[in-house]
Amino acid sequence: MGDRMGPAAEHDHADADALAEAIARAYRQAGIQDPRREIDVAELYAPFSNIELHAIEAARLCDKGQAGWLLEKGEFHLGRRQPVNPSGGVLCANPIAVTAMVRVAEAALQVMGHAGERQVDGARTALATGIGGDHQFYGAMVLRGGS
Amino acid sequence: MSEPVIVIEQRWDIHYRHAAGETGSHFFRALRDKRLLGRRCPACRRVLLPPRGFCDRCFVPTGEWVEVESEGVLEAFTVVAQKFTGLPDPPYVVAYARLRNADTAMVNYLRGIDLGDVRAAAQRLAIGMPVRVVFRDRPEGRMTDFWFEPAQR
Repeated sequence: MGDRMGPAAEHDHADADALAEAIARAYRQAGIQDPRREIDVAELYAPFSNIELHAIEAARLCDKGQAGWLLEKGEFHLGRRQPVNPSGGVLCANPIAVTAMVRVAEAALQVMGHAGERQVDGARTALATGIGGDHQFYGAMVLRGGS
Repeated sequence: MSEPVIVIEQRWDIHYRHAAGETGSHFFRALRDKRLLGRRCPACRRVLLPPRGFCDRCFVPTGEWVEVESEGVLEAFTVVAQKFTGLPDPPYVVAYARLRNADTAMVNYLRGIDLGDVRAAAQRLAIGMPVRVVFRDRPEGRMTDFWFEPAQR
C-alpha cells in the first residue's frame, strides 16, 4: 500500500501493473503483437467486479480507463468480437487454488472447440490469467489450438 | 432500520508467534533507540520504509540501511469511528505518512488532533499536511512504539 503513494510511486492502486507485466511476457513468448486482433477469447481471473476492469486493460484488450463503458456496452460479451469470460468467470465460481487452472482449462476448451454453449466461434487463440494474494502473484498463459 | 442489531459474543483467543526476519528484526531493534531505519535499493535507489530485504520493483536484494527522518507528509488517512476488538476506543486516526528521505509511505496511528468532532477533524486533516514521528518514552521494539502527529511548519 505505502509503496503506491508519493512521488516515487510508479503505479496507481487502480491499475494491475504486475498483471500487465505477466500478460506482456506471455504475449511476447507467444508472439502476440496486437492482442485486440489476435486474442479470440480471454478467461481472466477476476474475483471481484473491479478486477475485471483493470484485468481487461492489463491484457490490452482496450485502452486504460475504457473497460468500464465497453463492458457496459457489451463489447466483451459472447457473440461479440472479443469475448471475456464466456464461462461466467470467477465471480460465479471461485474454487480457490484451482481457479486459475480452471481459466486455463476453459481457454483450452475454447481453442479446441469443445466449449459447448459458451464456445466462441472459431476461437483459435485464448488468454488465461491467474492471481494469488492481493496484488502479489500473477500468471498468464496464451493457448493456441491446432489448425 | 431502528431495530437494534444483535451482537453475538464469542471468544477467539489466537496467539501469534512469528519471526520478524532479519530485516524486520533490525528495524524493530532500532525502534528501541527511537530510530527509524529504511533500506535502500541499489538499483532504483528508493528507500523502502518499512524496510524490506528485497526490492519488489527491481528484483534485487537491498543492502544499505538508511536512517529515516522523523518529519514527513500525510499521504492517506481514515478516521475510525467503530469499535474493533483489540484496537483503541474510537475515534482514532489511521494514517499513511511518507517521511522526508523515504520513498514509500508507512502506516501507523495519527494522534495529537482533537477528535471531539470527527467530521471537523477529518476536514482539518489533509493529504500533504506535515506530520512528525513521536516515540513513546520507553520503546519496546514494536510498531506501537511510535505514531504520527501534525507538525508545525
